[in-house]
Amino acid sequence: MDVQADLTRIDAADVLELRVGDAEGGALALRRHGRSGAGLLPVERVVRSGASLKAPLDGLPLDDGEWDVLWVDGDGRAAPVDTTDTGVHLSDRAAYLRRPRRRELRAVRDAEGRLLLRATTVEPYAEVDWVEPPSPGGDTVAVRGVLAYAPDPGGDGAPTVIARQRSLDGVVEAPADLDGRAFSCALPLEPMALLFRPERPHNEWDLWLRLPGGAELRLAAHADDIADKKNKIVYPATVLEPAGAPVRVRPYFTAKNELSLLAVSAGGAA
Amino acid sequence: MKIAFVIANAYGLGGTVRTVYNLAEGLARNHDVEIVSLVRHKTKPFFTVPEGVRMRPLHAINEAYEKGGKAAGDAGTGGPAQAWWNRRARAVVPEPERERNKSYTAPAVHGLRRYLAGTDADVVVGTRPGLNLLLSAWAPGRVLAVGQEHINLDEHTPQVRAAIAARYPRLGGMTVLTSADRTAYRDLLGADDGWLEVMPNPLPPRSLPRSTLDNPIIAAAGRLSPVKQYPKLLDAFSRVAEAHPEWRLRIYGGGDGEKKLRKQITARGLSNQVHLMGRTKDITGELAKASVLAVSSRVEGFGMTIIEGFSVGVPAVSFDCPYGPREIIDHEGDGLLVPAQDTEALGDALLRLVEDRQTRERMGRQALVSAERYALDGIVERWEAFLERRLAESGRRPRTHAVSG
Repeated sequence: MDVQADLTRIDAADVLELRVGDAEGGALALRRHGRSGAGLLPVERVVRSGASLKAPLDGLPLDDGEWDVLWVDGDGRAAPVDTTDTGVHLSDRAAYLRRPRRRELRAVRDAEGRLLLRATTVEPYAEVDWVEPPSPGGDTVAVRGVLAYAPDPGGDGAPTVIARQRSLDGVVEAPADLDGRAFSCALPLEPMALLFRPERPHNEWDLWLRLPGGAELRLAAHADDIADKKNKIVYPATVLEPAGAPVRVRPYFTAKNELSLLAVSAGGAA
Repeated sequence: MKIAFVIANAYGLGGTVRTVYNLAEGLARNHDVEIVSLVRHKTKPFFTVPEGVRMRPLHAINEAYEKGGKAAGDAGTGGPAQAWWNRRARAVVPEPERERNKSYTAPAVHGLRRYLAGTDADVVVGTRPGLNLLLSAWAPGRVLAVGQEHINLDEHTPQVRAAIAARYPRLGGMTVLTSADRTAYRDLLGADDGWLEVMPNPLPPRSLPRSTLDNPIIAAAGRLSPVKQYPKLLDAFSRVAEAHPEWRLRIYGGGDGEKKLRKQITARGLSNQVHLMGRTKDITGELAKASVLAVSSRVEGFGMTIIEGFSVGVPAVSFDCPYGPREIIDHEGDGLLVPAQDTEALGDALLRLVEDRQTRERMGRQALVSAERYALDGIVERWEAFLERRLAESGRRPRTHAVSG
């Protein structure tokens, strides 16, 4: 029997919800995507809740990568679960980020309409919600967001935002604010212009949030489904002239969706 | 019957190529179908050739050629034969059309002439003005030549319109995408309804996702070119962005306008909320993540994006611009039409659907129903009936062909 879901989402406790109507008499299993000969990993403890199946996935030994979600009928035949849901439910992600975890799971619909799970090993990081470029005449970039996959902050010390000059030795720090798990900070750009090293045409500054207790989280935007933000999200540049030679600075997302600042000579292309 | 579609370059990407492939896929189930390509710039077409459909390229050109290399008229300096074919093409295809599309090379035009002389096809369908004009001039009497128009008459230059007026009546029939365009052609050609038919682009039968309409995402899709008027969409979206900062506008498409659009996004302070998503091969998969589709075009020849949005249950908010949107969107039913160029009204309409999930869901359900009008099976049946009528009325009788593939 083919099982078709019209809602597929994963909640903060890594419970996969499949709205499948009246699918009965079978069980769920996972198999590494693209390896039809591989063994099945049964999903235990699946419960029916209304029109949905709820399958707890925490604790399952899932290597990084994509997994087919299969429906195994009473005769032991395994068939892929189809879905019409893209698996993207942005409002679920806020709760998902709130919990400490080392593995992230996402439900994905492939181009043929099959449901896949994508497992990724993750580190705690600082999810960027908003980047406020300098207002005219201003010289700070403000950033706000939430702690992701990290325990609630505690310990000694004041939260700090740190910018490190990539492959060079410059460091710029500024105070940050923490309100529960929400952070905000304003990073002064003038020091980056002063520390600009023209022998390296692109001076990248990678941004970190240091929490009370000393743990450092990279600023990044991973929560949504946009895989490559580098060319999709564009922030304006600001020109600063603290030491005579004008330097153009702008925030950008790296190829890994991490937030950095790029400083270039204002004579060149930003 | 045996049906041949003639495309300028069936190996590239583009709306015409994609929709002709879809139609060929549907017709190939019951008919012998081939796609004749004036030129090809690579060996493998961008889109997957539908099962059972044959490709017949007429002239292989190199990639540099398509990227703005030599004009078609210069291609034939190689010899008197080429010069002669160039003159023949020029006599039929007006200059603006040869400028707009560089596929009318001497070898390709010669190849088309030879193809038409020898083909056993019952029907040959041209897919742009230059091709339709060549068919009207050269298709032998035993072949039904049909002109398919993908661009509105108003968008053609006066020279092309004059050539159409002079030569199209010799075609065995023609199709347009919208009723508005049918009226325009009827006025120009004095054609009757049996000869001139509205044939919307079909939606191919695919396993489609469906939007759950819960993501704070407005989608727009189409080339980053002036006709899409994305700056107006940015202005309209600004209202949403201010009132509901968590909402995002995702623009799908590529093109020369990207750099300019980036500047317009940053100048409006919309960096966090407008994403330039680039081209995608899975537009329905992407649209299904959105809750509203926005259309800010000056002109939409058809509005395939609206239908693709409908097919995944996403309502549309559009300028009531010529020609497609008002024929596709049922105002207050499956979407909202606002006066063309009224950016404030576009913003209000977007805001309304952003704030009213119930209406969004009601319209989304209706959109799914509306999309069925464009299902491939139904469109193929309309084509079959049209072609059979045209063959019968012109005294031609389709021969029996084995269906290949």
